[in-house]
Amino acid sequence: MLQLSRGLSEILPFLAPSLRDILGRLSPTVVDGLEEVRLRLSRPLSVRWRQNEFFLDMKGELSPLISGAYIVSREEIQKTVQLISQGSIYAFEEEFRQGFLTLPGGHRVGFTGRAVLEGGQLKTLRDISSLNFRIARAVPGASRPLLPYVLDLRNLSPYHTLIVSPPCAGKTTMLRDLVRFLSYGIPELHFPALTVGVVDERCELAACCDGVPQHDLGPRVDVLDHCPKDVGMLMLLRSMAPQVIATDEIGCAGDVTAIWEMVNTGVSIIATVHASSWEQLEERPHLKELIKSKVFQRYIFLSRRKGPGTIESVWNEHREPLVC
Amino acid sequence: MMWKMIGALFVISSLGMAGIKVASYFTRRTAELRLLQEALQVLDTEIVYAATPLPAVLKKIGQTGGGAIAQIFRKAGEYLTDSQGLTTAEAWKKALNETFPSTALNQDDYAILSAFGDLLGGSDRYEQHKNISLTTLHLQKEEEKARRDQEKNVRLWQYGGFLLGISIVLLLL
Repeated sequence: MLQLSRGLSEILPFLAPSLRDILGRLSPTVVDGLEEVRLRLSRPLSVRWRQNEFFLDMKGELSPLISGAYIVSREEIQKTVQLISQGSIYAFEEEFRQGFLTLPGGHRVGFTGRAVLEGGQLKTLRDISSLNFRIARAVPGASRPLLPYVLDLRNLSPYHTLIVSPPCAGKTTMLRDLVRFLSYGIPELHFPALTVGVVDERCELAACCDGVPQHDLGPRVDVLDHCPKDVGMLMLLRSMAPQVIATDEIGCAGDVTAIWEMVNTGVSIIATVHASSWEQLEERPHLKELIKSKVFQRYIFLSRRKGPGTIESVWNEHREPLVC
Repeated sequence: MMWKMIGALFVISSLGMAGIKVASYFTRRTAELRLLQEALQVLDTEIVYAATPLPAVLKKIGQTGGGAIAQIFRKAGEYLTDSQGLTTAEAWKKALNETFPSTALNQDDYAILSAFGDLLGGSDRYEQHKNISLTTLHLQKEEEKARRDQEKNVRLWQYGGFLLGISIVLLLL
């Protein structure tokens, strides 16, 4: 199980030494609720704590005011970039193109800078100016309340399920926990362990580092890391004979086509998508058809109302609420 | 007479050994420049084809030999991972500065290696390949010069030391 305090100590070695000192002075209460650490060039060092952003001063004290905040220097940004890339930008070309990379422990660093284009396509990011360290957390058991709705106990397989939530509302955590349950099996529900294929295009679900998933996804999981979802889902189907395929943040035409191909193969699909309501979901051009055709049998809506991972509602394919 | 003989032998052997030492400097520099190019060849392959991160490649190169050249790579790899927060350029420069006195390289070689370290790891594979190729080219030229110096100077110093010793002894006698 990952704990938040462990999370901070795992990201500290990847920060410039001067920033380590400041973050090292954070009080244990702050460390416990820490969600993000943000570095912005020539702007105040800040953290997201209990869903709010605060600035940090030299002593590691939190304040909502800019005055007295510690200003992040260019050298600190450059050192941090060097440390997260092990001084080897070339080894993380794809990560720099995508704008994020994953650290040991599953923590994710997003960055922005100057985009370098080649033939109209984004080739890489240079002169990194902002970094956001998102502290990963596993919340074992987070998806337990969903199990009665997601599992088809008669056929002993999960329903095709879509987890719907706005950003930072815990959809990836929920999906990860569902995968873990399926991969271990759920003896109390007499539900057998299943082989799960995970297409982790954004390297967030399993957060592999050197091929090893940094989150516990159970013993029966095969991860396709950094692979585009549409290609990955079909690849997994052909190569690894999964009983369930899980993937994060579907939405483009390719993903939808791949899901169409998968639904009648006997494999259950569990996916997530960004949206806050049925209206927003139906406005997504490619998803509209999937909803209309009743491909997904369960829709789980999450929010941050009572903290990340608040289950707002669960619906079936006929848009009948099972939990509201 | 006995003491004179001992003194003469001492002068000749000391100057002879000093000459051999200077001569060996020229041979060592050529060999080290060659070793550096070989190491850069491995680095290029690992970066361009395998995109292996630097700490692993530098340590790998460092383990392939026990000499001062391998030591530069090994130390740089260690400094990158010892959580001091050094950048690649800083780690390379630190390793180079610490190891340079025990090599036979000269200030021109130092300047080439120092410039190489400034760009090491900080760009994409294509740029890294260019940096390595350019450095290899400079080292090749230095090796050619070193080889010429070696041919010119090795014999001179190997025999020169002894001859100087003998001349001094003859003058004193």
